[in-house]
Amino acid sequence: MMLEIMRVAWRSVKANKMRSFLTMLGIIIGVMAVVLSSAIGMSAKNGVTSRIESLGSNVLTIMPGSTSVGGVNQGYGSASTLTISNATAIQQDDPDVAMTAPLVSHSAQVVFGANNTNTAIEGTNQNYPAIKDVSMAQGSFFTSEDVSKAANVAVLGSQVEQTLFSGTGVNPVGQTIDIAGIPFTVIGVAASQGASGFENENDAIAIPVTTEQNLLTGSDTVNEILASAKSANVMNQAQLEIESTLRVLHQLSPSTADDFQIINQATILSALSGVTQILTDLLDGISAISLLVGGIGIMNIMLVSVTERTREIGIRKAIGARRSVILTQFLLESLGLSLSGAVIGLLLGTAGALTVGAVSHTGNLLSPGAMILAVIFSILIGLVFGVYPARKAANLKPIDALRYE
Amino acid sequence: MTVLLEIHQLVRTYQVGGQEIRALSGVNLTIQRGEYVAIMGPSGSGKSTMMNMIGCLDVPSSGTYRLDGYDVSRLSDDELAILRNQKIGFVFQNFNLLPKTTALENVELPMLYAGISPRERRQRAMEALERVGLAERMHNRPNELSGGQQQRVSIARALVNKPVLLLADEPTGALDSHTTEEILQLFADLHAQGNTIVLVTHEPEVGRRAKRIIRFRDGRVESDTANDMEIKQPVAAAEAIRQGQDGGSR
Repeated sequence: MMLEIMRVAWRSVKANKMRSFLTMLGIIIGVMAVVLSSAIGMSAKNGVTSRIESLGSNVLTIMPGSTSVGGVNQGYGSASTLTISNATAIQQDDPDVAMTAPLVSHSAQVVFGANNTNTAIEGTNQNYPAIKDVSMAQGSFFTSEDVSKAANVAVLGSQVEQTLFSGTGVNPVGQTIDIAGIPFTVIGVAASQGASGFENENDAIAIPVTTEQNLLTGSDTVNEILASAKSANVMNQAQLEIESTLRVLHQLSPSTADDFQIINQATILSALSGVTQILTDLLDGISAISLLVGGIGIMNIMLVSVTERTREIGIRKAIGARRSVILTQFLLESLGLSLSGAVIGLLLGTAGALTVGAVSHTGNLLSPGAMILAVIFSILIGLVFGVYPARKAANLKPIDALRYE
Repeated sequence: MTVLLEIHQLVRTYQVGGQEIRALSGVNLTIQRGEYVAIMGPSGSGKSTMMNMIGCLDVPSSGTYRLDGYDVSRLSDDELAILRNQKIGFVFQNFNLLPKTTALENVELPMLYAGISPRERRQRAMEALERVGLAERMHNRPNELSGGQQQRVSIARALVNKPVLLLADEPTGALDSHTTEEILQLFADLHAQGNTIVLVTHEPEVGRRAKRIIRFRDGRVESDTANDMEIKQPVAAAEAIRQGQDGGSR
């Protein structure tokens, strides 16, 4: 019996192919949007995660605290509270910290022969490549000896190397370049890193931190300290140890707030994930509205269909169809429309998601959860928006329906 | 003979624009099993309302109607649907077949609502179509059939659930005289096989074929008479009708 009613409902969907398709379109677009938006959201999340992880998975970044000028907070990093000796102390005293690298950076004009560029000059120590996972394309990074001697040596980022040496045909290693008018010997070129997060490390030059302080900034404070934990598991312990070490070194009383900030990978990750989550939620919301509009379209067409088929309903009732039979028939019809729409939307959405994944190199972006949710939501919409027309059909009086022209 | 339907002091009123219209005002009627009854009367006489009542498509405002032992006025909409399905076979003036549906499927429909298995449905629908002489057109749709053929399909549909009452509302109203004769012959055969037939019509030639004629006027039974002519001289009567029609059309 149920099977027969399903057949009747399906036949009516088939009988008006164009109209049925247009009715489904709302649901098709809605389901497609749900699948696609979850794919785009996941693509963004994967992208952010992989970039942050490329920064090194167990790196803690220590930034100076904020200063207030006339009550206006200048933001983190505006105070000058971190020094090279802080970095050394952390490395020596904190058991869960593997190594530290201070970082002082400013920008300067760099000249080689006829080429010149303005780039970031980053003063650091020999631990930098290990912490940041930088490998060398040519030559080598500077050593602790270079740092203690404040040698005038430089390691170029790949992009700087391109800018300064392209077309000259010379091997950069061993050449002398001018940074802010001071000659430096190039001892290495870092391998290209793939743009990572906030700063493009390919467009930078690394020099010993001591050299930078002596020659260029003239101050012994640093902009930040990078610290690597012994493993990703002890990140939080390492963070606590650094905090207590720095509070002692900076002679902060227990009531004073930290004059520095420690940024943990996990913190950044969760902050950025929050942003991508908002993006995903927004897209999901729009998709849900689209599905809702699709549902209203179904209700509209079902109401037209009930009016058109008043006579048919009258005949069926006269020869013995009960209320529930008519109700089921029309409910199944709207359900058939929404479900067919959902399946088509799912196929199109899947194709779209696979395309997005392939183009953005962010892997397989199909989310079974979103797909199941979209289909369930479509079924609900088919039922909810089908109930009113179906009830209208079921409640028709047979004599009125038979008399209807 | 046993009583099939029993109507007592039946009243049906409608509200039209705040005004109360009495379509039926106190009808008493008894029909036995195996009777062939014509309900006649001019339009507005209440015969259509009576047909809706007898067909359980409508319920009385007051009075009682018992069909095959069931008190119709006490039944819910769904119970009425079941009663129509089991007890009554409808034949309408405009056939009321489902479009885009084959003759066979149309005939199967009442059995579908009765919950009969697909195999038995098909079997019985084919038999019913054979009985009305349409075995070779069973896979045609209504728009591929002539008026007379469509009416035969609807008669097959009416018979297929073995109803106790065949209720025909102006069954020949949309047919030419030749086809009318065919359909009326079919009714006569069905009656001869023991079916109870109630036929609502305003055409005297059609009504004359029944064994009992009940005339309505102003919502009441005006006359209720046995009709002997058909029994004694069926051929002569048919001839008289035909000649009367021919004479009328000239």
